[in-house]
Amino acid sequence: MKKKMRSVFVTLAAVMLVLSVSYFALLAPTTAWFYQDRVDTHEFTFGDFDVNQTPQSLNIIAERIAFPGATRFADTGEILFDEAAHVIEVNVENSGDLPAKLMVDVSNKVGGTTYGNTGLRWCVISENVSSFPASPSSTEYTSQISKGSYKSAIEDILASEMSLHDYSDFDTNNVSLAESEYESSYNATAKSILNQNNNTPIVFPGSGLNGSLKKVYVVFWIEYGDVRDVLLNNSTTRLNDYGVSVQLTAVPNVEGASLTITNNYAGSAMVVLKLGNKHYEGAYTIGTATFIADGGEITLSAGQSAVIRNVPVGTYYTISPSSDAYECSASSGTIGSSGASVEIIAA
Amino acid sequence: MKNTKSKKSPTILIIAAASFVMLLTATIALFLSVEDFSRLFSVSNFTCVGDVYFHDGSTRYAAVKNSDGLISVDYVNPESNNYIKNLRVDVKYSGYGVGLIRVRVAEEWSRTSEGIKTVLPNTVNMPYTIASPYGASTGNQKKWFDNRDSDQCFYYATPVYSSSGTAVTIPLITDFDADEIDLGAISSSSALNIAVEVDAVQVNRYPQFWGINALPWANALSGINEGIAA
Repeated sequence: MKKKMRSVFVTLAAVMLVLSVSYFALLAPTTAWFYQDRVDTHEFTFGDFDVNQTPQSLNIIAERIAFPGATRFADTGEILFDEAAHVIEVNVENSGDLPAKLMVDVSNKVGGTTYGNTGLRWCVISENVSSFPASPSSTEYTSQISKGSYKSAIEDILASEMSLHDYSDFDTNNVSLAESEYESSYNATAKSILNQNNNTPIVFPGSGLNGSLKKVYVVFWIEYGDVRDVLLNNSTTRLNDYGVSVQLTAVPNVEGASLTITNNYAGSAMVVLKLGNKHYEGAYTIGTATFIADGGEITLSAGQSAVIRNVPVGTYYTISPSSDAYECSASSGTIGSSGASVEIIAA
Repeated sequence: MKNTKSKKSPTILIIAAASFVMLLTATIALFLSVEDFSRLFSVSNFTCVGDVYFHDGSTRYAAVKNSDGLISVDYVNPESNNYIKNLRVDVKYSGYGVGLIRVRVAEEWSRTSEGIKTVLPNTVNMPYTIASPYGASTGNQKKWFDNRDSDQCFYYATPVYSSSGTAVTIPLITDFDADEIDLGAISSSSALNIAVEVDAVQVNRYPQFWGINALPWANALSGINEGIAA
């Protein structure tokens, strides 16, 4: 009996050990690369989760933030879209060296209550802090109103995949027909595109010269066509309630791509490579041979190419020549989904 | 023969399980960051109506519409219930939706001879006393901007919403300076009828419904939070 028990314990312990080892073995190769670094280099610092305090926040009904009204997000003529949208602004910072991606998930449930959310739409917009106005809004007008920042950003997303229209392009003398055409031939396509965009991970390159602080705007609005019956003139005040839970998940960006350095200089050349803020100390291949970069140094004979594989997409790199006789085609960049290439050429 | 039962605790198993859990937890903590929050929203309709009546200081009299929908106003006899100085126009706004309001007060001067009504082409600058005239500074104000020279309308110069179930009442016309009226070519025997049209539109839709590219006062719409609430 004693032997049997011991045998069972040993077996279970072995299984646990195998599971532990397997867990790490199954992680993507790029994740393994992370482990070669210090653990504190992978940090996600989420800033304040601030609700935009203007313009809607003063109109709160039983803890519900009232939309000023409904809107038509796909209508290019809806230039005051920003006035009717509600925006949650999130400051996101990846202060580590490694690239990360942020996923935003919006569900129709708050606590134990599930909301129908008819007409509620949302879109995630992310911009580098430096390239987006501090307070994107269309709230200031003098002689001519202009399209707001959120509306413009959403139209940019749509315009990449469809032609945009002004609602007045439809036959508005026949409201019923115009509504039908707008919804079926145009708005439905726009919704589909935005839904795709909503699921797109946002990549943060990590610290480095390119910066890693971004603002993420979760823009909510009510689509007019879906709530028209509620909003039409009525002697009594009518309300539609909505509820959402928003989950922001930041994870390492384990999708890898290659960085290729090609020496087109007439002679041997050495470059120093940094990924993030750290010198690259990992493996690279020249042809079929594998080498280890020491202090980020990579040496190439004329005509050779060094390939560093599985560099996480979004990694910010800097590369500098060790001699004035030659230079690099790009001194820095970010690894894209198809990788990146740098050429060494005569100075 | 002594029968002894082994009571050795499964130390190896516990340590192994604990190690696995610790490693797993540490790894997840290292590579996953999650933030959750929730929001409740509402969208509402709104209703905006004009309340036109006469008030002589003590008694309120209903403004009766004629068959053509206009309201007869006496601008000559101060003793009449519908004397022009008694004319009052309020705007009542209810609903949580945010809207912009404008009011058009149109006057019709006419003469009737042998039962035939002739509308005069003349216009008169009517010296109504406005409850809160728009001030000298720019930007949104909880006051009426007189844009009659351009489109015969008074604009309430800030977005409006109701934060409770009761309607917001915004007085517009509270008096009339009878001494200032200049009838010009219009005979004092002419009849005066007025029409009051209250027009409210969702705050983001005024370009489409009102056909204007900007609100008439400078630096308009600098923030809905400046709007009035009941």
